[in-house]
Amino acid sequence: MTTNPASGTEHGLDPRAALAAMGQSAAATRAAIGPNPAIIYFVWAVAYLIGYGLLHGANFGWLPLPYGTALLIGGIILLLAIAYTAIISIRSGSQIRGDSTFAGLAYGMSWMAGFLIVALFSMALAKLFSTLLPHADALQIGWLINAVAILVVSLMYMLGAALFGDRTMFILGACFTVLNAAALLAGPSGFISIFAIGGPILLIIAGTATLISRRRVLPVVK
Amino acid sequence: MGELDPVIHADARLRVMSSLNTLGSTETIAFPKLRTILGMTAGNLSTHLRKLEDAGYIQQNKVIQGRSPATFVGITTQGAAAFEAYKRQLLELL
Repeated sequence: MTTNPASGTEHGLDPRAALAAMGQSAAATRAAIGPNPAIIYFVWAVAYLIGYGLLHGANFGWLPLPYGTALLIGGIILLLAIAYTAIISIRSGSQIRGDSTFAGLAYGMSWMAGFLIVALFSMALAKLFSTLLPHADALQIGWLINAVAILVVSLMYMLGAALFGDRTMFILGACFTVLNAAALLAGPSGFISIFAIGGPILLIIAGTATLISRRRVLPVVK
Repeated sequence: MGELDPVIHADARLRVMSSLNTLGSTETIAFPKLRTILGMTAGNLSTHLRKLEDAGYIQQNKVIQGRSPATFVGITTQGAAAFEAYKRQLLELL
């Protein structure tokens, strides 16, 4: 519905009403020009929970699923989460021109480039293992590939924090680095449990923190 | 304390300035998207944009997007400074 807010309010606008109007339009603008990061964090929390949960179930036998099938389903969930993130990011940034358009595009392309290398690295590592260590467990290969993938994830979050001035994103990236170190120290048998529990928890905390900060009414708008 | 800037101190123009200031001085927004955000009619928004443009607070650029003309609106450096001064004055009043 469209309105004409100026009607009859050209003069004598109350300072409190003016401050409220500023806050409302600033909030509406922020919501319209960028995706809500909280929703993205929650979507990824679900993706981590299902993805690593399936791997955990297949590996520890509480799901009647071969490890390869769990890996395949996890990969599909990962692609769906990527597609969702890309679509809402592109849609919200439409009809905006300027520096942020390039920054957003460059950031999105960096994620793609990072995961292209992770995919190629995974194939190369699997090939190397099949030649040098033919009896190696799929879990051992997965453990190493996962470490590289999470390295990309944590660095991209920290890069995003620097690019968009988002402290929550930086803390999330730093926490994923800590989780990655813990998973590497825990070894092939422990990394899935660490990410099945730690990943969703971190993402839910980040999403909740973002949601709270977006809803907080600030006395002075930007 | 000086008088509040009359160009900004009107509900519709205040909303426009706040929205464009949130966007930042390096960004511009398409007219239809700004209209949707502010919930204003096209005619009303055009009128207020013209007043702000005459004051040098915003700029409107007409571009060709695909095959259709589009208008992009953005705050100027002068507009951002005026809005900051307005906010300071407003807070002093409270």
